[in-house]
Amino acid sequence: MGPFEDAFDLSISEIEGIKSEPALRAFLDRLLKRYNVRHAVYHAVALPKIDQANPVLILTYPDEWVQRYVRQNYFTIDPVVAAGAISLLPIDWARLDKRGPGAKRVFGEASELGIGKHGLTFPIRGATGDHALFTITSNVCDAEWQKLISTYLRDFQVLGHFIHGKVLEFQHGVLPPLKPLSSRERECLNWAAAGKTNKEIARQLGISERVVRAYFESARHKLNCLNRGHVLARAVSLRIIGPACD
Amino acid sequence: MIRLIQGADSHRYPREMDAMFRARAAVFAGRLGWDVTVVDGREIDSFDALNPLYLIAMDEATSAIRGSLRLMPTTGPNMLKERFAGFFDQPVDIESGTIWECTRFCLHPDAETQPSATGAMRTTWELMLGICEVGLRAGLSHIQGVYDQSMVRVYKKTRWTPAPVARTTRLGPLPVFVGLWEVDEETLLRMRRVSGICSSVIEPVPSGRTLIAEEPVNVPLAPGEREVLRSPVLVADRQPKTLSA
Repeated sequence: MGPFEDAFDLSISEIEGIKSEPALRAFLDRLLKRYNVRHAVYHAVALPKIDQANPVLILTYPDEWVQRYVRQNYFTIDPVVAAGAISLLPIDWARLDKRGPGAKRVFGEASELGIGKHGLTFPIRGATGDHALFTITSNVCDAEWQKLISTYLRDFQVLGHFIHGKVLEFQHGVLPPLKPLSSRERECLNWAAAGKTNKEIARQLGISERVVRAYFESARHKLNCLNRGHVLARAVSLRIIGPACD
Repeated sequence: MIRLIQGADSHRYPREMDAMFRARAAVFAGRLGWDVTVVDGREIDSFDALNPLYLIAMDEATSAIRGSLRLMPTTGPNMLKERFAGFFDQPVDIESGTIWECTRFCLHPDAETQPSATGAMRTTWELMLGICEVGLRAGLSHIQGVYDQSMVRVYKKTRWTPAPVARTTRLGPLPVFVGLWEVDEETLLRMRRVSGICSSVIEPVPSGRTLIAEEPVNVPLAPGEREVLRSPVLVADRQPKTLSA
């Protein structure tokens, strides 16, 4: 079962209705309550065709912290941003080197405002030089935090990429360029739309079920969807699959 | 033991990087006959400039470097998609934030570093366990890999085998495959049980060794990436596009 497949009754119309950054922020707010996460931060460090650094922030932090962070330009001394520029792996704040004066300042002031007892930051990289950081924070106890991360790690990874994909869509305007689905991915979606299970699709195509799952995962990412039902709906509405298509 | 090295950080590990590039030349150009470029005895390609995550297998006691591989997200610039798509019999453009690609998996051939078949198998176990651990840490669903026929029985021995996605006979004397491994806890447990290596193979990083925030970060630009102004933003003139309402 992929991320967002169970428990979270995200309606497709709810997701498709997200057409602006404030709507994205509201969606994030609603979702976080279900995960028992305190704050989430989407931070675009660099976007294609935009000269300005840190051009987009979509977050649930209190205004006071955001104003101060931006005014003081903490982007340049925040160890999370520095680590995120280099690391592919998610960054657990507990493992960061916070001994430098810049790090002490950022983390010290953040904690005064009740932010980030625990934090995990996912670096996101695209094919056109786009780079973003998606962070979740929580004030639960250590044991709960470990449980939260290990249970929902993939969900958060998917969510971060989804938000990034949405921001790119908004940047681009009315008709975002979609990443083309491969013939295999379209085949899988067509069979799924006809009601076949992964096992049946694998048998039809003469490939392993594991590969079928990867094709769905790739289609999900390329169409910037959160779950399987959403991918199918989007593929049909975009006429990528359906009775008139091959 | 597996040391994780990010490409952008690799200037701090010249010995490991040099050993890896030399071993890659010996294995991929020398032994496997792949069409790769070797300069001064080192095999380095354009992927290496894109900040991959390298896994370096090292002897814990002697620090001898025994094996290596690199991981890249499939969401970034991707050589497989861009340059080699036409070589394969099926599409090779799988892309997702939960799928990373593994390339240049090799055991370093120096006789001193691989004293025995058992030693070589140990290195293979560590690299495979390392990939699985990294995959779980990154929330990945799959690892995509490029490998030739000779690696298939090696993977079988580690009980974590790829499902083939595409095949070509145009990249070397043996057929070369793109395949997929699934990442899950069961796989990690199975490999640990069979190998007898029952704890993490990844070198624990003391907090003092992570990035020092005060140093300027020099991240290589990806192809097509433009230098983004990193100087302080004047808040009055240029607000970020949205703040929380």
